[in-house]
Amino acid sequence: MSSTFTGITTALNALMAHRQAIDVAGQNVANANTVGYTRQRADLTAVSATGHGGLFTKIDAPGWGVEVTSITRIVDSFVDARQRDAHASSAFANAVQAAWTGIEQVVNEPSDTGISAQLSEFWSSWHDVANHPDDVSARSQLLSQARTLASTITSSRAAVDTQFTTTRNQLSAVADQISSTARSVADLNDRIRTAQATGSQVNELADQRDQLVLQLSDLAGATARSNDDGTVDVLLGGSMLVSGTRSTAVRVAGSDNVDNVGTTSPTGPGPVHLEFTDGRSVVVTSGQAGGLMTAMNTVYPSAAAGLDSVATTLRDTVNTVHRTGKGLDDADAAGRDFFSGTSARTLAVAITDPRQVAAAAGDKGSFDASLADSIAQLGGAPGSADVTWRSYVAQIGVGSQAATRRVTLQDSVVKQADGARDSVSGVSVDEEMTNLLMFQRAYEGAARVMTAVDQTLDTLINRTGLVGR
Amino acid sequence: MRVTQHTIATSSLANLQANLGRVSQLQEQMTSGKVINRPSDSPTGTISALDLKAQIKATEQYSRNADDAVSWLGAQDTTLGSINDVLQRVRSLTLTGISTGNSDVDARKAIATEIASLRDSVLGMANTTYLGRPIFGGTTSGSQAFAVDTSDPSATPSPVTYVGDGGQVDRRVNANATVRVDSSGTAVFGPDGASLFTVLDRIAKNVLDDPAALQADLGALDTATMAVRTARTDVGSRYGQAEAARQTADDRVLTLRATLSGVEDIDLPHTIMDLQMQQMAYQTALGATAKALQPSLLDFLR
Repeated sequence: MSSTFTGITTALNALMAHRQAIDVAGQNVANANTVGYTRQRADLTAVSATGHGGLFTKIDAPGWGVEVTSITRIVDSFVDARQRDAHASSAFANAVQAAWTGIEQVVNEPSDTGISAQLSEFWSSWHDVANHPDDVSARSQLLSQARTLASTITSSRAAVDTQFTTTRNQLSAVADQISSTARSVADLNDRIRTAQATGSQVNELADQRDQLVLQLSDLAGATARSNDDGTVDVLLGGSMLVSGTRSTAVRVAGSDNVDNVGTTSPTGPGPVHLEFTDGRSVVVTSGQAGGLMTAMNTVYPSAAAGLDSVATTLRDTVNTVHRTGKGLDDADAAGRDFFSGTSARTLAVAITDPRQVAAAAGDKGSFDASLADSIAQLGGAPGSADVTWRSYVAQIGVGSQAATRRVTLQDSVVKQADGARDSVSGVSVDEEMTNLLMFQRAYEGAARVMTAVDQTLDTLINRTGLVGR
Repeated sequence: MRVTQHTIATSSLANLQANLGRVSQLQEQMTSGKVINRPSDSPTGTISALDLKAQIKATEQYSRNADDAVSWLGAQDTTLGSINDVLQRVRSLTLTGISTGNSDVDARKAIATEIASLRDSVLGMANTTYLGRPIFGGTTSGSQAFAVDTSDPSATPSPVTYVGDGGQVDRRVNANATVRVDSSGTAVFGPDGASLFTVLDRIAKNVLDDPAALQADLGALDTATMAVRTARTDVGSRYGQAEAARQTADDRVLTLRATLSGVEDIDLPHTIMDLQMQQMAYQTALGATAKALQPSLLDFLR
């Protein structure tokens, strides 16, 4: 048999539980647009009347109302993991694509001022010298055109170097961000563990932390692993970045210029990579950091090598012929180089005196122009600098195109993953409104129950035993 | 799938972005007039465009070279024509000398003087220069093809010797062919000692001293004249070759430009249509977004 006042307790429980449920709906609506917020649900559980009765106690009564047993974050850890993975891949693709776009800008083709057009001008200048070997101004014109060409090639190469340096600085900033974010995650882990131990609600802290973990995925393709005490471990390429309440910092190591990324340590600085501040290396192949490293270790070196091969091809093809010729004041083959330098970075015109330009074959008169004609024909020959340049541009174009396609693809994957997370954890205002209505009605109902019990008791207490009064 | 307001907002935004991205791409094509603005727009198209541009530049150069060849050969033709005229005059004077025989000394003196002066004018024409280069001097760096050799004071008149070299001046008129634009001085005027000038000197001398030998000299003069004419025919055919090469190069530039335009230029009506349609799509998307984002349950609750 239940107590006389059970009904009041039941109604009170219901009032308290639904008020709390309304609060939760309010919190959800308040955070409908908060980034990373996970919707919460008040878990209502009916309170059984069974209690701790004796073995043979028979309680023949309804339950004691309702209680909020917990406020749950609605998350699907697989969806979250997928989201982190998608973000990491997308950040990687974007970083690589940015590098290709930068190289494409350096290439500046197709244009009327690019290296291709300048090569054409250069060969044309040789034709002009071939037409007027006696004309010093044609030779001066040739030299100035050659200098323009060489300086365009060297400045393109310098632009690649600058991009490498900028990217490396960017990676340093990313490494700092990874370290500080990891520290924040560890701090939040600590607060969550403490709060959870005291039975406090940690949903908002967990949201903040998960948001930071997502940032780490974006930055370096970090993966997360939940622990029983509410903390998460964050792993970077299999190594612990955050382990419970402890975090490690990372820094950039390896080559600081585009020429040395092909070396291997310990003989050289090795490719650009990340390492923990205690010197252990970290394998990062995803996220923004992974993309930046791919740019520095693959994209920029190949761009630099391409420019170098254009420069050396130009130097070798021209010099080989030029050495066999003689200038205006030479009696015999002079053996002079036209271009000097060892790479695109140092390519320069070796000749300063226009009279020393060898237009004449070594065994012919000084106004002979057969050599100038041979050099002018180099541009159209197979294996020429023009052909090397064109295949280099094609290589850049194909690389950039593939990178852009990957970005488009990854962006749509991210969109899907974000949508999936939103589908599970996002706040729907309509849904919260419906819940509010539901809880409000239930609250009103509970209040009515309380009134009903009150009136019943009023009848019992105040209106009974008055016979004959 | 559970859909929230946020889902709709983000997907709408993404779609609008994609739409606007396509509008911006078409806008870029419209304003630049090019389909290919960077290698990644079309790697193969970029290569074709670069290749075609290089070919156009080279072909334009060939056309200029051929132009130069035509000028050189034109100068030669004129010069050889004048020389031929002079030699006709010498021939008729020689014939007069033969018929006059030993009779009229004054007349023969006049003939000799005229022939000597005609020799000088032939020498002048043999030293014709084009843009500072003697056109019969090969690749010599001197300003003359023939010079009067005064080293032997006893020889009167002083003999003319070839001071050019054996080199030849060529102009490249396409990737595989060159046209010779000069003529060898020794081929046109004969080798030193047996040159046209020697023949003329001998005629001038024999008119005075030995009219009987003039008949043989006439034969030598005809041979020399024939060499000049042969050279002129040769120059004429090379002139034709250079002209044809220039025409071919000019035509080829036009064809190449048309091809290049097909590769890298936009199809204007097509692009305008695309842009219009894309803008329409964008506006539709904006309208749809405005409609989808507005209502919520709140609008219908009291």
